[in-house]
Amino acid sequence: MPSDAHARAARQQRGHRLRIDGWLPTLSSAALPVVVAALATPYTSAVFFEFLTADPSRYDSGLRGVTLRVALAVLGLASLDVHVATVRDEDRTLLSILPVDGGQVVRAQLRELLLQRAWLLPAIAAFFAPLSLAGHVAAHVVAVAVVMGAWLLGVVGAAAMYLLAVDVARSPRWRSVIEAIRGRVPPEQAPLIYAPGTLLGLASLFIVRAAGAVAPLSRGELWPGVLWLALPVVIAAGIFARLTPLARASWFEVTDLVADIDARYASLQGDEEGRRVYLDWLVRFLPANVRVWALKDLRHGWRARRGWISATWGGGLLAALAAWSGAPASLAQALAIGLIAVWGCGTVGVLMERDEPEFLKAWLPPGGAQRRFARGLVLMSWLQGAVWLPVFAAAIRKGGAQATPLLLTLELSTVVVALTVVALAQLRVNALTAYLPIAAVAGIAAMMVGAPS
Amino acid sequence: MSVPAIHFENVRKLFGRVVAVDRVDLTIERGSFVGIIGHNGAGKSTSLRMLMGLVRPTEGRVLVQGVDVHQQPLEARRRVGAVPEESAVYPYLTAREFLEFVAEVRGGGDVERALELTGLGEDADRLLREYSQGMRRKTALAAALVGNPPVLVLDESLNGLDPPSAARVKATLRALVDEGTTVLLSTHVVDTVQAAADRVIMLAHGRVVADVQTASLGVGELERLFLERLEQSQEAGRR
Repeated sequence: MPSDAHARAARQQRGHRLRIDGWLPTLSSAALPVVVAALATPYTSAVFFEFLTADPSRYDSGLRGVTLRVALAVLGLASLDVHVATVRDEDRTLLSILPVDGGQVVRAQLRELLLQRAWLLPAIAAFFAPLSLAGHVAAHVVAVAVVMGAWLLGVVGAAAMYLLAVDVARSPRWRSVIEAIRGRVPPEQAPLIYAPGTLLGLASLFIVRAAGAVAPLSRGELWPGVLWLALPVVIAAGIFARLTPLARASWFEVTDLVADIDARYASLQGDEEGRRVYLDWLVRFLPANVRVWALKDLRHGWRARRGWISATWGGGLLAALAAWSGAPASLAQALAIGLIAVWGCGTVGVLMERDEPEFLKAWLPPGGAQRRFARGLVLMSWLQGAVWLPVFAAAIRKGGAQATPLLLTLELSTVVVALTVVALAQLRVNALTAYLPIAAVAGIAAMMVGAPS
Repeated sequence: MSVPAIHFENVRKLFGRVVAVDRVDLTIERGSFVGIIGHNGAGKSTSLRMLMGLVRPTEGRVLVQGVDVHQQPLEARRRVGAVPEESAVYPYLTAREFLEFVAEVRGGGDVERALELTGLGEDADRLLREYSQGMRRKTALAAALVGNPPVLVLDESLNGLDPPSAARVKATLRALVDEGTTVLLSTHVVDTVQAAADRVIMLAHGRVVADVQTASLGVGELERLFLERLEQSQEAGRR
């Protein structure tokens, strides 16, 4: 088979997509993270680059710390991306019935992934911009190089790790180990779940060294910094060279492994289990006249507006990263990010009001106070992701005394958001129009709370 | 004795505790047109997916022209043109580009003939995202025909086709069988399979419950036999 069948198909698809959809969707999806990274510079500067204005003796450790954190986060992103691109890829059904060369398929998938994530380079460069702004241009360049090296190692290493995980999942030699560690996960899936963690553990050995080399390298101390800087890339190249035979041996097996995993879940899932949604256990603790409304909202919201609900955890994670920092302003930053997440994700409440099916309004009794209480309670429950992640981070890093005000303020904001949403529900389809300015004002106020002095 | 086109050797497939296919032994000779029928959950799709290499048997082997589908996945796929029940295409390619891709992957194949056999010639340069469900199924069938694989496996492939298209596809399949291709077609529609196939295999609860030549059956007889065997299988299950 000529080597470029997959590459040509990908190129043709890109061409048609651009012709039909135009450049705007592609450009905007690539530009958005870069713009966000650039706009967030005042915050990231205060939280992650506080060492630039502190005692010079903290410069090396501060630079190592921020580079390491970003590199590991990017490595984690690469692991997830590669899982989607090579294990749960949309084209698997199509390609699995053809005599494809697994090595070529995986190489083409990774090539596409590198293209799709090309924005990482300018976004990472924007994130580290405070270094250049403070006059440390060489450190800026080296830190970006370390992070991009970690990403490359993550992409190639994760592909190899998932393919190896398939062998482990099918091998009788590993059966007893898998049984011991799998918990409630199907045995076929356990190696795939442990693969990113294993990669993170192994890769971090090299990335820690590379991150530690940023400061000496930027001062012109080349040895052994160059070695540590190059090592993740060299290892990635070495893995890449072995990837083709590995993929040829295992690519088709991924298909039947994934089929087995899905079938296991399907066979476990009874009718009631199939209806289960995030947090539906909450309703057990509610009085019967509230329970029905809460369950309806939990199910409807999770099925129709899952992105907003999941985003609370994303916002919470960002706030937790801020809370984890040793910078003096970190708690204020965490609070600001948490408040923005709570008000932003609170939008789901008014959206639910807007897109509630008409037949439900006609069929169900008016509900009154119980219905409003259920809506507020459900919304507050969904928003807890944005509260508890930063609170835990603050409690571990700074102690309970400092975490408590953060908890109380964020919990209070969930109550205010819930009350606002319930009050605006009377406006039905116009609720969103009324909510957005209120949320915007709250968001700006939060930014002022967290703004670096 | 020649190597059979398809051979299921004591094949069993479990999904957790659920038995999807239960000790199926089956031999299909070269150049035959075989239909598989069965109730929902009878094991038709799982059997065909094992033949396509999408699902691995828990026990036993599935062979295509003597090649083990799971031990030699590449060799087996060179011998099989497959149309899964939920067949996929690249939506941002035209039908012609998609079939050219398939031909390249298969190491050659007559794209124009595949387009002509499935009646897609006039629409070949339209993007597949603009195609109806039925046209996408025809494209998937055309992809299975590219490269003239000796075995065609079609899972519910006539579903969603309008009557003229379905008739055209059946005629195409019959012509290919006459040229020596082996066709295995699963369907819910008993009349379709009786009219198209030479031999019909009935599955119920993962087992083969009947294996008959359609030439020996009168009008409506296949449906009667199917219902009778299904009832017997259910009764055996209850016991």
